Amino acid sequence: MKYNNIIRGMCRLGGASVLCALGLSYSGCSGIVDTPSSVPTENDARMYYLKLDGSGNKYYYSIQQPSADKLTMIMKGDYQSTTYDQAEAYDCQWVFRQSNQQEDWYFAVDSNAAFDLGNSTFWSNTSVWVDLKAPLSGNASWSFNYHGDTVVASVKAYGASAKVGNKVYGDVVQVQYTGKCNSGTKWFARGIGEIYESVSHPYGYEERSLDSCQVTN
Amino acid sequence: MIKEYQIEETIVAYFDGRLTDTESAELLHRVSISPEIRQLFTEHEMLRNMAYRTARNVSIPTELEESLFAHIASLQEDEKGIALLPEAEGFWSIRRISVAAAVVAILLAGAVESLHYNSNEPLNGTQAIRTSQISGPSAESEGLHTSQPSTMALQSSHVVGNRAIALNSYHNDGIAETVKEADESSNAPVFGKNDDENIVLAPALRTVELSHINQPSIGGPFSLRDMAYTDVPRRFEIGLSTSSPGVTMPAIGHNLNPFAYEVRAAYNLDEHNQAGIRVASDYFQGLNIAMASTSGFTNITGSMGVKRFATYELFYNRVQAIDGGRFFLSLGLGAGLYSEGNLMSMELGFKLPLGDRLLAGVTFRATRVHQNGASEQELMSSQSVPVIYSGQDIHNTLNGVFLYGLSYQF
Repeated sequence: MKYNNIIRGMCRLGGASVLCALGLSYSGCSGIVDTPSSVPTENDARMYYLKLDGSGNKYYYSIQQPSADKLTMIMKGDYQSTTYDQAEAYDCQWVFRQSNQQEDWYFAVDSNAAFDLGNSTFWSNTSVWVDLKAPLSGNASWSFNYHGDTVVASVKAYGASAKVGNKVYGDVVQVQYTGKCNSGTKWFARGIGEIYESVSHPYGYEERSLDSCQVTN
Repeated sequence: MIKEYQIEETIVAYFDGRLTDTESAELLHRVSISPEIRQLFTEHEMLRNMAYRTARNVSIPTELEESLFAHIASLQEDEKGIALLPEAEGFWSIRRISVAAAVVAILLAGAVESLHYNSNEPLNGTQAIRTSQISGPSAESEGLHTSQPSTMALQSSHVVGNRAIALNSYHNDGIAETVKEADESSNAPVFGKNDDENIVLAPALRTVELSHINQPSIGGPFSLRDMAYTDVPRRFEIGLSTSSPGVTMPAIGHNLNPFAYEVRAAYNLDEHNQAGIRVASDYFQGLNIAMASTSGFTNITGSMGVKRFATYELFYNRVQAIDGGRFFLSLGLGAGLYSEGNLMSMELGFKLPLGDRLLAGVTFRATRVHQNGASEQELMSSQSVPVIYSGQDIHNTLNGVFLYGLSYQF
C-alpha cells in the first residue's frame, strides 16, 4: 500500500514533471554540457607532417626571423630513392622572395618518424632534426642528437587549436624541443604539416609561420 | 513468539470469561509459577482496569474513536510486515506497541474529555455515544462484523445512573463479548460473568469494517500535512543543507567536494507549491585559463578544476504528501546566478517530518552551470601573434550532488 501511495504521489507531481521534461528538452536542444576534446593516439607520423610525396605541393611561409621574408616550399618528390633511418627521403625546393635565393632542402618521413635533414651541407647522421616520432599522443617524447647537442622533444599540446596568420587550425600537435644549444617549438596540423616554428640554434633564431598551402594529396 | 501469543490469547480469554474453570485454574497456576506470564497477566489486568475507569467518566468523540480504530488498523498492517522479520521478536512486539498506543490514546482522550466534562454540564444517557441495550448471557450480536482478524478494539459507553458499565472487546473470532459491572459501588469490575439482575448498556456495535475506515490522510484530522498547511497556517519555510561529494559531467577526473552548504527561504503558495530563494556556497567544476606569451607566440591552456562559488537561486518546488503526510516528495526547478555565470537546477527530494514544524530531507540536485568567459575561438582571435590553445574549452557542465538538511516551517 505504501508503494502505491508513493507512486500515486509521484504521479501527482505530474505538472512539475511536465515542466521538467520541457526544461530538459530545451536544455537538450542547446546542449546541456560541452564535450571535452579528445584526440586518439596517432601511430603514423605522416598524418601531421608536410605532404612531401606530392610533386608540386606548395607551402607559403612568412619568415619573421632571422630576417623578414617570404618562403615558398615546392615539393619535388622523393630523392633518388634515398632513405634515412629506413624512411624515404624527399627533395624540396626553397624559394626566398626577398633575397631571391633558392636551395634544395631534404626531408625524410615514414610512419615512424619525420626528419628534417637540412640541405646537403647539414645532412649527416649527427645533424638531423627529428621533427616527429610516432606514436604521437599527449605525453609522447623522444630525443635526438643534433650537432652534438642532445635535444629532448616532448609533445606539449595534442589535439590543440592554433591560429597562425589569421587562419585557425584544429588538431594541432605542439612539440617542445629542449637542448643545451637548440630549443624552441614547432606546431604541426593534421593533414597539413608544419604551421609554425620558433627555434633557436647556435647559428641563429628561426621563426616562420604558414600563410597558405596548396596540397594535392 | 507463538507461545507468548497463545498465552496472551488465553489471558484475554480469561478476562473475557471464555475459559472454563479448568482452563482458568491452569492459567492461574501458570501465572503463579512464571514471572513472564504473571507480568503479562498483570498488564492485561491493568489495561482492563484503566479502560474501565476511563470509560466510566468520559465520552469519546466519534472522530477520535475513528482515528483510534484507523491507527490500530494501521499498526496491524505494520505488524503483518514486521512479523516476517526476526528482529520483531523483541519485547516491543507490534501487539504490545498497539496495546500501549491504545492505552495512551484512551488516557489522552480521558484527560481531554475530563476537562470537557468538568467545564460543561454532566453527561447523561442521551449524550452517550450510540448506545444499545444488550441483555442475556451473551453479548453476541447479529450483524456484528469485523474483518480485521487480530484487532482488539475497545468501545465504551456511559454510565447510566449508577448501575452498570459495558466494555466490549472484539476478538479474533469477531464476536463481541460484553462485560459488565454489577454495581458501581463495588469498584472492582467483574469480567465475563453476566448477571441477569444487572442492566447492561453497551454502545452500538460497529458494523463498519475496519478496512473501510479511512486512514489518516490528506485532509484527515491527524495528517502531518494538515498540521503543516491547514491547522496552523505555515506559509514560510527556512532550511539549511549541506552536500555529499558530487559528480560532474563531463568527467575530467574531478569529483565535487562535499560540504557545500546552502540556506534557503521559501513561501508556501499552497499545500503543493512552494517558491523561494536560496543562497549557497557551492562546488562546481570550472574552467581555468592560463595564458603565457613567449618569443613570438602565445600559449593558452584551459584546464578544468573544482572551485567554490557563491550562488543565488530562485526556486520552485512541487510538494506531494505521501501516505497521509508521513513523508513528502518534492520536485523542483531553480535558476540563478553565480560570480562567473548562471545556473539552472532540477531536483527530486524526500522530506520526513521530525516534529510539528521540523522536517529532515534528502534531495538529489542536478545543476547545469554555464560559465561566462571568452571561448577558445574568441581568445585566439584576440591575439595578433600565433597562438595555440590546448586543454579544455568547457563552459557548460552538469553537476550532481545529494543535499541533506533540515527545514523549519512557521
